[in-house]
Amino acid sequence: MRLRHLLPVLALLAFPALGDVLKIGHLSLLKDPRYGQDWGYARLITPPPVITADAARMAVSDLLFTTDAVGLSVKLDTQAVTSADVVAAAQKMVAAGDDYLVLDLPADGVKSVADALKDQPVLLVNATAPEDSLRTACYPNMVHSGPSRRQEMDAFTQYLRSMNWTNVLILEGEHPDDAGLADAFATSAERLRLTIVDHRPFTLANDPQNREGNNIRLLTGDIDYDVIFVADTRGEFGRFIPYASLLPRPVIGSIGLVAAPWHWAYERDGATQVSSRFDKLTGRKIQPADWDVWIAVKSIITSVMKVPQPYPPLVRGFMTSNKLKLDGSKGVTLNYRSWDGQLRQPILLGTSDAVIVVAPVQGFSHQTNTLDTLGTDEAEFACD
Amino acid sequence: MKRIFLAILLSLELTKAALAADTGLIFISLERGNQVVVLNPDLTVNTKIDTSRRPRDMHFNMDHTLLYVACGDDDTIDVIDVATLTDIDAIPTGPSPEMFQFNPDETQIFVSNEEDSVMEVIDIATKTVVDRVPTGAEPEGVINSVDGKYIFVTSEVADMVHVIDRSKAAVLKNIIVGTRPRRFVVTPDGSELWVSDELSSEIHVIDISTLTIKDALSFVPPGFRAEDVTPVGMTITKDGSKILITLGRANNLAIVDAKTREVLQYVLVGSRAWDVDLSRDEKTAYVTNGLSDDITIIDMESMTPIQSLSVGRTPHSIRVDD
Repeated sequence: MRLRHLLPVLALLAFPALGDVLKIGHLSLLKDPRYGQDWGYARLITPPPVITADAARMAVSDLLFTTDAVGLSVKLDTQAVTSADVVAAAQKMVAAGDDYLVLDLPADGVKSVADALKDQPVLLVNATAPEDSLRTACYPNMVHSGPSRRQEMDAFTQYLRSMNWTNVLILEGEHPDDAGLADAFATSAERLRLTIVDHRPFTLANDPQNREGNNIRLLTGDIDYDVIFVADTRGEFGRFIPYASLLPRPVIGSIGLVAAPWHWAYERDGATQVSSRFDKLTGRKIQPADWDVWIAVKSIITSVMKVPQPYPPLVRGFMTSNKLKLDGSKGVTLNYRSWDGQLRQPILLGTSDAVIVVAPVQGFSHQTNTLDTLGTDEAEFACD
Repeated sequence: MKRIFLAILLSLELTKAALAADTGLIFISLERGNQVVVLNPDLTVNTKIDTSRRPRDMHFNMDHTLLYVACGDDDTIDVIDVATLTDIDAIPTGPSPEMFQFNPDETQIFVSNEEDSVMEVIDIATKTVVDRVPTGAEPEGVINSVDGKYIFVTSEVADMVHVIDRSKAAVLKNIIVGTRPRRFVVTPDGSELWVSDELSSEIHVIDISTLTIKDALSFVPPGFRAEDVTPVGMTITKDGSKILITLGRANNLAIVDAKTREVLQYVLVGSRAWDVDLSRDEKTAYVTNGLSDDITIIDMESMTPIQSLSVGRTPHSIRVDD
């Protein structure tokens, strides 16, 4: 029968004064290879175009009623540049008064911006680079809104554990990011004591002398396993593996069952409203990277309104405390971890048109917050 | 003079009683079943009424001859005839109607359009939209103040309660509450508005005379963490003494003393408890459980669950005709 009166907490909150301006920058690449539209041979467009500035705009418009009510005016500054100009662009944006920068950049871009701005009193939100190395770098002025690789991999391994699919064959592509993905999966699999029966590289050319490396039936033969994990971050070969393996086994990873922070087909927890608002605004289906940016902007605005002074280091402190109660339309309240600045969040495991399960998978518990069963936990985390 | 007035009142009461059939039927909207399932008082299934798609909030008219059902995917409020248990009409609305209320003389419907960020005022007789009040994104709960001066609407995304001046059909004030505010109750004396904040696990109590927050409450059943508590549905007894609050993922109903704000009892129900309604004699409470697709029936005297009953896909709202 516990009953707490929370009013004293409310009294401490000081809202920004009338006429305050919050400037948020959104920096992305002109041609981000991760969202490449001509991956497929003959310019077959497999993924839809991703321009996450749309999602940043949606977040500002979603919160307009609230920001108006407290007299806060939000200005969004969106810049798309080539990878060579990323650092200069970020510095220019900060000089122009963008105290908050949402980065929709690959890991190397995030790293160079973070290195260049690490002594500035700004807040950087890494929205879309999943690399755990950016978390262990422990940049003092950065948080991460999109899931880490490890969060996504833990979602998979929890699911495999719950299904008792414990023997995994890993197929890995040639891109360096593919190795990173496969390693992250292997680390997570080790924690939940899954068995990696083999780890096989996949090559693209049909070289008859390398049939073991490019023929899918040979690649998936000669051994038994419950499930195939495909590490193919550039979408080169993964598409051709489901229904083509020697043994009839499910495929997960970059294709088949995919782990993501968001899925357009998620229909619980008010998710449909977010997806259809996005659809209406942009005329396209929302992608996981859009959600990462949407929640990044939403966390900045929500937190700025709740701190006594809108000073980026204070805002970061608020975000990584348990005081932030962020609504990401995933059914639970979200905030950022104090040790690595990572957004705690459920991960969706989905196929091309359905969400199969939401992790944390039922039955996985944690001593403080169930969401911390996904991603590097405090006890195992160390800065580089 | 007084006596005449009393006589009129009495005859009004009699007319109402004559019209109300008091069937004891229990109506449950199935959000994903596109049906309203009707249970007999003995809890056997009477019938299943096909409705427009995604039926959610439901309200009887004053004499309980009609049941109105907001159908989110076909953008209508369907009308069910209680005597024949058939869907007899559909009133068009804006995109994705979710929750609604009648005005006191039942000539208008106030409905939140979840995907349009608007509260519409619909004239029932002509089925036309007479007013549209823009709200924050994902408006949900709609309720009248007792004196009819205000309509309150929550915006789930803007984390606020819009206070709408009914005579002007315009927002008078925005009150920032907790994260993802959902539904309301107004105390029968008209003094307090209770708001459930699903994601910050709070209940805010607003003083209607000053339109300011006077209390923020949190109810955490034993064995749960605060973040498991996602309060949504609420109802209040006619004397205003008890408020029933569903706690969502904490799978409990909290029965709360409205005056002292103390929990009288936590009642274990199904998975993600959603809506709650009371029988007219207030001896029984009914809770819909959105994730376990069932309802839980609670004896209010002992404040214990009596029975859970499977009803179909994603039960949203429950109303008792008695």
